[in-house]
Amino acid sequence: MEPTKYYRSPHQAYRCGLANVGRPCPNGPLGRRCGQSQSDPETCYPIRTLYGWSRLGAWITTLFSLLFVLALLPTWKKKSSLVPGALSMAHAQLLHGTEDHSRFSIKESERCAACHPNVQTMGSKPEGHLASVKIGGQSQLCMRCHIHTIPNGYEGSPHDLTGEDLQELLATVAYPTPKKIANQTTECSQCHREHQGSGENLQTISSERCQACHRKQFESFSKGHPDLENYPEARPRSIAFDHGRHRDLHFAKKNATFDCRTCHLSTSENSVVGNVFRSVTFEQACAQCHLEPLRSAMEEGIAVIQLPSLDRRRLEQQGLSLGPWPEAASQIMDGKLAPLLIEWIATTTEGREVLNRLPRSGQLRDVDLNDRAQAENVTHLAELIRSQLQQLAIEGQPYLRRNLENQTAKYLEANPKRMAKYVSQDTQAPPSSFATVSIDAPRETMLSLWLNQMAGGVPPDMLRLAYENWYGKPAEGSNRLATRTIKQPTRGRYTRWQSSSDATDESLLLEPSKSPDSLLQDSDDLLSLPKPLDQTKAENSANPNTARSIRPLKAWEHLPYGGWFLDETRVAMVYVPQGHADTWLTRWLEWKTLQSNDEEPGWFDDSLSKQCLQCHSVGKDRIAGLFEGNPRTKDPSLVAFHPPDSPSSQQLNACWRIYQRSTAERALTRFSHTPHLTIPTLRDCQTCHHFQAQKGSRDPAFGWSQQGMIVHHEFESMQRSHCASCHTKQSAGDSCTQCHNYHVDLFSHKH
Amino acid sequence: MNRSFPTTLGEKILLSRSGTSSRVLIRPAWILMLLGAGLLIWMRSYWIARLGNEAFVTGYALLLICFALAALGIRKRIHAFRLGPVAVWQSAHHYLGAFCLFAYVLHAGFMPDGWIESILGMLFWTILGTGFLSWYVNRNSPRLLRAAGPAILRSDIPHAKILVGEQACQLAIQAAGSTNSAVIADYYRTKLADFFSTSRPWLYRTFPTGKKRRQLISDLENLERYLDDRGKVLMERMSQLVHDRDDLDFQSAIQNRMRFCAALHTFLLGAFTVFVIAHVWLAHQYSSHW
Repeated sequence: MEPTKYYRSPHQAYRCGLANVGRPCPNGPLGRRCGQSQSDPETCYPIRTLYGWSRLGAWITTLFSLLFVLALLPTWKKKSSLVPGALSMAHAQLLHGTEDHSRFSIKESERCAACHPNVQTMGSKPEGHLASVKIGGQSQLCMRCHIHTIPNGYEGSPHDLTGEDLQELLATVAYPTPKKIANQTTECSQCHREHQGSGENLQTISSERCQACHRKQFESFSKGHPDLENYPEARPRSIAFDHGRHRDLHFAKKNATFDCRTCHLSTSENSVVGNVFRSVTFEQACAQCHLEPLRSAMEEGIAVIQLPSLDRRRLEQQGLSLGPWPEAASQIMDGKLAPLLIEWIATTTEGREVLNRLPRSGQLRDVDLNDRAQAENVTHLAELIRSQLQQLAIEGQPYLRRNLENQTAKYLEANPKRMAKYVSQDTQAPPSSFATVSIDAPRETMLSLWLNQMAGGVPPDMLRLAYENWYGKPAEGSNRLATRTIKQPTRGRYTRWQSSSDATDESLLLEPSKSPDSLLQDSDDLLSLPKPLDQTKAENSANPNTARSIRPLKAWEHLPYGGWFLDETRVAMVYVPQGHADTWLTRWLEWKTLQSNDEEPGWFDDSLSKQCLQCHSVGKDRIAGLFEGNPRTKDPSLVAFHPPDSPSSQQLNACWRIYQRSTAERALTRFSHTPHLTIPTLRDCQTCHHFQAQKGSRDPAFGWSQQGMIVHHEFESMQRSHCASCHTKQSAGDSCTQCHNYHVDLFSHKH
Repeated sequence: MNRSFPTTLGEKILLSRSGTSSRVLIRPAWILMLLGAGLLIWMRSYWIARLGNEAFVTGYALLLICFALAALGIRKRIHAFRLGPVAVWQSAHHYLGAFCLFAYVLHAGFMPDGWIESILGMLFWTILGTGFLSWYVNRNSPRLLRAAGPAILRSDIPHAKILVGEQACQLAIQAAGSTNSAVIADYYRTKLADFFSTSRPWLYRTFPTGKKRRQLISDLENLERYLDDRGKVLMERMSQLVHDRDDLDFQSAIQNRMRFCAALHTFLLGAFTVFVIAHVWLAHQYSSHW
């Protein structure tokens, strides 16, 4: 009996139930039913075939899968069950934070929408500045959190660069065309792939992605990578240090070891290049040799306010009256106006005219008193000085600060470019969608802190005392002065200023010196060391008469730790700095530099200037840069020490310090010494840093300049082959991002 | 081995060029696969180089391969057009399946995270695994079937078994009529009746062996000393029927195994399709760029 061909096809869900007994129905089954007519006595019960079972199973699993997916569909916008993979550690809290701590975690319904704009449930569209940014929606969501670390990220431009930096970068790219790249925006997710698991480092970028633009392709770092041209690049310097000269001249003379690590290695902190710094502190690296000369230069102090000597007799011969003027400064025409006096006098139109009529040399001895006009100018000058000092004596520090502020504002106004930057800090806040709290109280800025430190360092009581000593009690505002008790200090060659709290002895009240020539009297004392305080007190108590004859004060003896005193001989208020990095002096030197017409500041004292300028260079740009507070300024010496809204004294001193790259700053190339110094053969710095040829360090043009911003390098450039010996794929790695940053603050071959 | 028509893609390609030995025939298909893998790697690198999302390249390549794999099932159901032998299509299906493995690993690694992706991954591996199993079974079964007598369709086997059983029964009745061959009838009653009338156990249907056949034939041969000449002829005929029945069982087991693997390979395809569609849709919804 031949089976019907109906059964020969394997794609049948049922087969005849009688087939197994050798009598299959001639027509085969019709679905689940027998294909024979009902009247036929030989009908069968069709049996499901393997194919049939398979098809049934397929339908069931398909239906079940469809139901499963459809069940998820209504909540697809907010369910983390659709997450394709675990987030990285940094972002994990976005998904797995507990609702209990709702302040810190995101609601479950908003978790996906925190990063995926297509599933936004908050219904927020980009607002304000966000509406004009170039990057796409998802990247905008990234920037909601990362704006502070990648402030230029909203631009979406290559390497976050804009303007000149971008053009400079594009010049280095061969393909695609720079124009094409410039118009291209990048999205965060193009490089940073999330949902790759908690162990995935989001910052690991494949070298292939770098080569999307950097098409000068090469096989590896060791084969084909461009040579390290002049790396590390020479940078502008704020502190002069000629390595070759120190090693060959100074250290050799002292037979001292020239060890790089003494100055450059820190055991306690890390810089952007590991625990190696461009320089450590003055105390650690320089004080051993430079502290003593500095003290010598400072021991006489600085005559901050000094009256010039004017010839009263000759002026009276011209029929002019000098008015109140200290006798000690009324003999001859001599001296030079103190820089501060010049600035204060120049605040008025009249004052500027008087100053313009003075000799170009600035020396008053060059004034021709036979010329009545010049003589009248001198009396005018004396009156202006007196007037300014009177105001100072009456109003004290507020007057001084106001004056300084006006002068600084004039400088900023005279430099529109700087002013524009300064103003723009307030009006163009960095884009951020976070709510900000506004407080009506005036914000402390770097400029205000800077002015406060200058004005706050001048003792107002001493100003009044100086005025009274030189001119008598001021007529105007005398009531205000009368409300305060002025302790009269001793008067010798020097009159030491004391605050009201520490002047207890009535004998210290102002008494003119009995000696006809205080200078001669002091000369002996200058050769003797001061007695200990206890011994002096004992002597005074034993002999009351000697207690009255207080020795005249000497700056180097009595003010070894710095301070103010009145010098009656010089007719000056003198300030003795508190050693290296004196806060008040640095502020005033900065102010003077800012006011000067050229980069050569007219500082207070030549010997002190020499000591300061020997190592430091504080140009106008550097100081003004402090007030701009722009951490991304092009000037590398001003970079990123100080966020503008949190000024501090330390930040103010930035321009005096050697430039240390901040860890917040991102240059195109990065390097850390730390892992390299673990290799014994690399622990000797000179393994990598070779001095230039000997002539280089002795070539004056190659060394330090007074301008301080000379860019030069005393070391030979690193060779790529040095690095490539270890940095291979199999050894220390050679991916692009191992040494290069994508998100950079500035692009320059100099960094 | 003589073949009158090409049965694999490799053979089809090579026969059109030269028609040499089977070992050489396979090479062009592998070369095509290597070229395909190279093309996919190049496309992926190109996509990365233009800062694109390379998962879309490998993903859509994978989707395309899946469509191509599904073409075999469609081909089997289309009889109206001359689309070439199914064997060639099946061979192409096998090579594409192997290539699919490469594309999948390039796309998602071994096993992705996430609920939907994990389910999709498991479905993929199951289908691929059963596919490879089918491939292996399909390659080995013809040799086994050829060794088990003449070819017979799976649907004809039950009827053939009945015929063999009936012949054995008649032979036993004949043997019972003579004193010198009655032991054959006794043996049929005690052992062979069950053998001819019932199905083989599950273990045999999964892993068929000739152990039972050898045992039965050995038992029959041991009866020879009780048989006269006529009885010996009956015994030889009974041995032949045991042999035939065992061959039918063997062919049934092998063909069922092939069918079972094929069914296992296809029954998850619907669920796989559903999850693929969901995955593609979600990928487009959540991704910021291609």
